[in-house]
Amino acid sequence: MAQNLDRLKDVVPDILSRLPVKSLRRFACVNKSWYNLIKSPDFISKHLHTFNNRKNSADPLNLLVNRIRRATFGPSGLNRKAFVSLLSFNPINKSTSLNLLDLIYNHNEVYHLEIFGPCNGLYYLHSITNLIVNPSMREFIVLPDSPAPPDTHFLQHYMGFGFDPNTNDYKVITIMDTWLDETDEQLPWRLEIYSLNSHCWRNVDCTLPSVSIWNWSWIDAFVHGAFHWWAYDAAGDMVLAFDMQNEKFQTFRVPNVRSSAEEYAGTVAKFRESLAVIIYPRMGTEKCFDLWVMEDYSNEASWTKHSIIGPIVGARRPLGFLEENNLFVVEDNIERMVFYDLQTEEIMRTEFHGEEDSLQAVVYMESLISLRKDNENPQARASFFGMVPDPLFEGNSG
Amino acid sequence: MSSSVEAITVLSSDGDEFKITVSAAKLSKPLNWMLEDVCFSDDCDEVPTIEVNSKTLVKVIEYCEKHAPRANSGASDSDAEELKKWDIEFMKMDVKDILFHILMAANYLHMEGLYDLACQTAADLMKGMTVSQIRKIFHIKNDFSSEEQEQLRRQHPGCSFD
Repeated sequence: MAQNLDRLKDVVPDILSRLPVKSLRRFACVNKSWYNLIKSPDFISKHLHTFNNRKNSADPLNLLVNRIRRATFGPSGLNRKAFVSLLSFNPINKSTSLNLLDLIYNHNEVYHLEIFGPCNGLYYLHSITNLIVNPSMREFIVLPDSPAPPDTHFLQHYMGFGFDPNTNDYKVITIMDTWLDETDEQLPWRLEIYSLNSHCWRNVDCTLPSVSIWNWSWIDAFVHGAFHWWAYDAAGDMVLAFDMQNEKFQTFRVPNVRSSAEEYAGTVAKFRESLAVIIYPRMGTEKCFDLWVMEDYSNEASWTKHSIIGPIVGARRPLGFLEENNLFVVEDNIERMVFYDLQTEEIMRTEFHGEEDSLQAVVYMESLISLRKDNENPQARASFFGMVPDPLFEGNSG
Repeated sequence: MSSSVEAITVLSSDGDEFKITVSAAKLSKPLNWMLEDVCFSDDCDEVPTIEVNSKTLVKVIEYCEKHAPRANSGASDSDAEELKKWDIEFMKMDVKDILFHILMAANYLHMEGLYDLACQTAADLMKGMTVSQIRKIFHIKNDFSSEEQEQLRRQHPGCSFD
């Protein structure tokens, strides 16, 4: 029997790496060796890979979603609020449940919120307050305000979020224009980088390529260690890339994939660990989505038309891919979230919808990466949040 | 080895004899190496021992025989679907009594498919358990001192040692 138990020890990491974070947070209290295992960087990375890549067609589809609601509750009555929730869609009975992340937004009025990520299970939530969140650990950290030069303001800013493996650090980047308050004179664009390790912003001196960023789609593309935006200049469409490791910009010309910018919209995307762009018509009740993939990263000659997705009746704009499940996610004409099976071409409509163009959906990933260090005061940086069923979501009552 | 051999005989750690077809034995790397060994020529009487108890070996062989046709020839999607259902039925067993033994046997016999299946089954069973239930099935004692427990409670509000 003793020999048996010894051998069981060898397989414990393989069993635990298949458990959700919620169970593992509990099981860290089993004994010291389980605690040390669950906290070890090797196990955290093994779990990230194993848990998020397991395939079971009966499992619910989990997404982190964001939408603005005109909420009627709260002290000030009717106001606009941004809600970030964990959405679970059961592909068998097509039911949806929605659990709100009880973040500080729920108590403030918010006009815009954008989710970036996931990056190893961490998400960056950009709004009037900026947060990095690990929803599975129920941890969040409030970012300090980025330091603007005195007596200036900005009109436009573009954000990015990614991981630098070299320093094992998560970075948020902001590209912003700068104007003098007094004279309205424009100063050069600025680049600010926030590092999670140092928990502060720094100004980075670098020349920005003279391109314009088109920031409408909200589909993230952190791939090959770089964050990407859809951009353009006088010569046409391109992708602007920012490498999180060497902190340098790069641009890639996109082949002439759309006949006109008025009729066709474009967005960057990530597809099978490659940089991709999706092109689709702005108007129409039945849309096809052209998927172009840069097969050899940074080689402009390697853009390949991978496939045409659809036609999808009632589709309005793409929300992204759930690659593990072979699904393409779109928003339809009445702002509902719709799944499109890339293999069977089946369309699954959910009861979940956004308002005022606010809907955003990204893949939900579980991760044991903690936003706080064990030896510090838990209140110093990261805080915990709870999750509650969304009282405004009709699907929850069923 | 002679090509006429279709099944081999092995001994469990309890000393019982079991027959396993050659194609099923190929699912395990160590068994496959044994097959290639001269020992399985027709004129050899030596029966190899597998360090797995009889109760567990019966189940492991059952799994191998079921999965061998697909592993050796590839199969259609409907076969894969049927096999998945069979796996679910096959895995309905007591954790401590047999599942852990199968897990360790699959690890020892380098059977990736069975190992993944057993790990996932164990994880699914453990998912909702309390800390004391986990200690019980793994025969683990709580070795945190009361000071350490106090410190962990401060760092992780709501954590429980029971």
